[in-house]
Amino acid sequence: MVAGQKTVMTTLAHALSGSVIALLYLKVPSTDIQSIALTLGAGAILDLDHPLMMWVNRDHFKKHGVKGQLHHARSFWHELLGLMVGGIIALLVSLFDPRLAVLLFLPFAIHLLEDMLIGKFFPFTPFDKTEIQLFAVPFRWKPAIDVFVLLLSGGLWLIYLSGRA
Amino acid sequence: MVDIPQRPGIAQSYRPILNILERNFSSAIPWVNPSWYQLVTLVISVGFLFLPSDGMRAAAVAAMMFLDWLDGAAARALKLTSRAGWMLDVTVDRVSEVLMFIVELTNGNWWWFAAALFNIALSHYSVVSGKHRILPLRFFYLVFLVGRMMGWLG
Repeated sequence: MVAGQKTVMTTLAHALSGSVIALLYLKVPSTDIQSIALTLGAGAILDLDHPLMMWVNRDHFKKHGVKGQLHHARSFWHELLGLMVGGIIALLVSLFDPRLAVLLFLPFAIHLLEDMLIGKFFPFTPFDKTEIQLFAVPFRWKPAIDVFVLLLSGGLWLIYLSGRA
Repeated sequence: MVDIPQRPGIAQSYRPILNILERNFSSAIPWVNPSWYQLVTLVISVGFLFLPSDGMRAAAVAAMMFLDWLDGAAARALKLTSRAGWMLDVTVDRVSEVLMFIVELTNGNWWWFAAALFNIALSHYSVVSGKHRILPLRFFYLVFLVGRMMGWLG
């Protein structure tokens, strides 16, 4: 294991979990495909950060490999500043359509929260590069965490799609 | 710790009371890593979205304020206080506030959400300046919720 390897969740787990929380919260009808697609996209879009930052930090990845190193492939979007910028966009959207603002922002915020729960992060980047973590989750736990989140989200999706929520 | 941003004098005024509480109840504070209290705070923040009444929301905010005190007390008891620990605490609080105030944003009360975003900016300022200049939004919100329940806010 490369030193510093830490767990990150898969994009699918992020998208499914963030999306279903937003859909249940806003009581979106399960026939509203457009809103469902929107929340799935909002829950996944943050991971577009990774390929871009992997290219920016390509020297690090050539040296250490990719596995478990994705906390080095994050821009400010994955930190508190990203939450603030995403929040400002949501705030502006809410002036016209509060429901749309929440549909877009909540899955994004849940994705950030999940990454903070299980990985290393640099919350005050670019102003301070201190690396912190809530729990030191070993990389070997990644599949178990992914399966747990997918099962939990799957259960919530079943509740949502059955209309029992 | 000298490298932890210091609170302004007005925010230190209640500190002696909390210190007395900490001294007298330190044996009752569970000796667990403060991160566990922060995890519970974040879980409550997500659950907060689904609470049906202001009374339950007020209880959840009070619980989160208690957990915030508890994680600090546990860190002091376990001698885990550090600048990184302070940053972690501040980050958890900001994420928690943003999630909580999504409820108000949904109801058109955008100013609470805007205040949470402003608090993120203040947190960055605190890190850069070394001065803890962050609004106690949970406390303000608790007062707001009680006021709304009592009908004081129209």
